[in-house]
Amino acid sequence: MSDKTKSNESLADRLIKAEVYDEFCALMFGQRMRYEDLLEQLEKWSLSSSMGALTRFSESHRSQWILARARAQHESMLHDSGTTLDAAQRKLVAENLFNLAASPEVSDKTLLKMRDQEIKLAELEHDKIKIGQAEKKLDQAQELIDLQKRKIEALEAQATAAAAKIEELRDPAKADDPEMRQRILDEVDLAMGIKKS
Amino acid sequence: MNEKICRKILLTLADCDGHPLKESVLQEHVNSDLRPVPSQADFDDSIMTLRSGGYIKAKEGDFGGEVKWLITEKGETWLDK
Repeated sequence: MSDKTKSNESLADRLIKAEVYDEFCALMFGQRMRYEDLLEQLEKWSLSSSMGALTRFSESHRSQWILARARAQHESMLHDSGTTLDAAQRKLVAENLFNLAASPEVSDKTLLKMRDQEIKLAELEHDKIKIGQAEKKLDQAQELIDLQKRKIEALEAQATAAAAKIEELRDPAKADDPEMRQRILDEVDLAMGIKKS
Repeated sequence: MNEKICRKILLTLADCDGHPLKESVLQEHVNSDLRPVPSQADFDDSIMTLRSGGYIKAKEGDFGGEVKWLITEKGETWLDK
């Protein structure tokens, strides 16, 4: 505890004795309840205080309470929340949350909203990365399909040209060398699996 | 050097348990606890003093965003005195 905390032991001690210290701090720093309402709440716990005492209590306890809240948020994010995120993203969100929760200007209510937003943003980022990876895979698959299509087209063109050439060879009128022509046709038939009767 | 501001900065960073704290949030803690509220110049001067003395350090690799601060071992030792 800091030196300043010790200087305001009376209210803190009475809160601890009444077992309402944490609850009171949550009202004062987390909910940022007005001092008038805090005094009323203290009366309900049969504790008396004053505006001055509350101010001193606030100055000496706020920082520690807020930073304890920030540490708790960090731990909670790492271990209990954001299960849809990977470890690196969860760590990043936890660090962001620590700094959000460490601000004395941020109430618990605002913090809850900011926490949800941080997690949603991280989830969106996570989805964006996943979609990007899927799109890349899709593009690669499409490139492969296009390549195969081009190969098939090239083979079809070759086959068409070969068929035309064969037809030409089958025409005896166009053959200069009948023996050579017959040999080539036999080889073609053999290659195409055509059996002669 | 303003010792009250420096001490408050070190106490706040020590309570962060190793987590780097944004400078703006650090200043909120200083401003919310010290009376009168320190001027920007006094705060900046205290940060510079603590940094050059090796009591605090900026988080490495965080040059793109807002600067974050960590207490060093030297800073922890100074607080323990």
